[in-house]
Amino acid sequence: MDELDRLLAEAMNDAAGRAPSDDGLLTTVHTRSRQIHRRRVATALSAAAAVVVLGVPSVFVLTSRPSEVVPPADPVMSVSTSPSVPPSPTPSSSPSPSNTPSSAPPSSPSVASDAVTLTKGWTAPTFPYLLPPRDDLKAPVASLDRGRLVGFFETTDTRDHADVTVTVSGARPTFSDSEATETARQVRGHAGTLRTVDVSPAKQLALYWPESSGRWITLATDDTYTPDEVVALATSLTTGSTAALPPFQLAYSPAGLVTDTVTASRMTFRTSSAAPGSAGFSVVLRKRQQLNGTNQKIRGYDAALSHGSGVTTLAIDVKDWNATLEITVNGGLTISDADLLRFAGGAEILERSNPE
Amino acid sequence: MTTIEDFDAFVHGRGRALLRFAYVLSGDAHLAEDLVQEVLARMHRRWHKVTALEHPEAYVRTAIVRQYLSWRRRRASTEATYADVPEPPGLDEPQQRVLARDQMWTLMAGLPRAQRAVLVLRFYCDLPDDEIATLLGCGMSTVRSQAARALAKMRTMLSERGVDGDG
Repeated sequence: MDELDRLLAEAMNDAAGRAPSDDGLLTTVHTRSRQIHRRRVATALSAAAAVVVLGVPSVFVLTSRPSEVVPPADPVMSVSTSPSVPPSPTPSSSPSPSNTPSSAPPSSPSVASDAVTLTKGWTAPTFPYLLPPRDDLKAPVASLDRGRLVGFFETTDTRDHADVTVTVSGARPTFSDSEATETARQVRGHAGTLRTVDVSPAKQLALYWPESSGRWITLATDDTYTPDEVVALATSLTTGSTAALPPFQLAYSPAGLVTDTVTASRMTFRTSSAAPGSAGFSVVLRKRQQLNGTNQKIRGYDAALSHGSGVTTLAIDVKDWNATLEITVNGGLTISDADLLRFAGGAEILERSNPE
Repeated sequence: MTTIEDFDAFVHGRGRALLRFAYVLSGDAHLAEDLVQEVLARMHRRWHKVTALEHPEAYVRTAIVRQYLSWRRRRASTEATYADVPEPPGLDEPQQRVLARDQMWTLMAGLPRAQRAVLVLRFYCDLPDDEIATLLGCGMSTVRSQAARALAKMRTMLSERGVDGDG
């Protein structure tokens, strides 16, 4: 070690003595952990959470709000085309082609043209499976991600159990991580694949199989469970109906469009013929952004309505939410300014939302 | 001991050391707190998995380094420069040595993040190059070249300022 090395080591040890104190570290870490956890299951916060209106509460008249936004009455996935059969509750059930999660809600008329019109209310997609109840298992939280229905089953006992995420898709799942081992497993009477990604602190396991024609299920967890236990979890899935909790309450929704994504920050819609993920009508809550060219007022908030090449955007400065609500219509769809403003006027940001 | 108690005991026992490490690594008190809090918070619910590893604290430190490299990548435009390095003292008096150490610390602020991380792991954590390579997910040759470049840069700066760092 030469003089420079010694000086460096001394400088670093000197500096270490000036490091911040650990007073309050544990409390802060616990708080931050809860925040991370909340973000993860943001939509589970409270189904009955207070409505944070798109506008100052004193300005917004709650009683005038339409009441058509209700949980789905139909236990099938509302992203199905026609009245469909509930998904196979047991491995012995017959697959049903009508369960394919890729087309329009049963209640929605088909799109006559690329001009979007509005219909009252919005029907939430429902996640169609349940794990058997256990003391350590919370009720599932459902969401919809680019046409894939996701059920998140959170455990309260992370030592002996693990969180389980079940995804229902219309196509064979793809994975971004290439370093995985795959083994064939028989699942619910179907040929499945168990995929293991060797990462620390826990190996990630994903079991996927074709449940029926046009329906793939993926069950993801970690190596808290053995491969046999993962298969047993999959086998234990039964029919359920858990509505995806939206970040916004919509008085109107785009008629005839399929709901494509429902997460803590966005709701998107597409035509039934469009590929999942290619939403043409999106409502996104973002962290607050500077708005240029404000030319509208939506319930007292500044808003900017703009028209680009095939794109219409309405951005609303929801300043007391420290967020910007952005409604975009593109991908070959059009909407009249009047309808877009009407849609925005009926959109309420819910407490469970989380800007992205 | 439950997982929660186990985690809390770890933070109580090793939190200060992790903050010292993060501060030496980042050179910024707020960033150090942020790094340690973020990494621990992300491991909180999976702590039983971390403790099942052979060296849990090493795993946490690795996560801090990777978080630092990731964050610094986004914040690269704010990295310090050598512009404010004070005039160097000689090294023959204790007080001058203290000043020299301060100057070294200032110079470190101007190093690229990866080079700085290599120096901290080598001179603060006393890790051999093969362990540094494993921790950073790179080859030993990369570690050595990063260290060599960093030390050469610091020697040049010290030389320009009139301090002999070759001892």
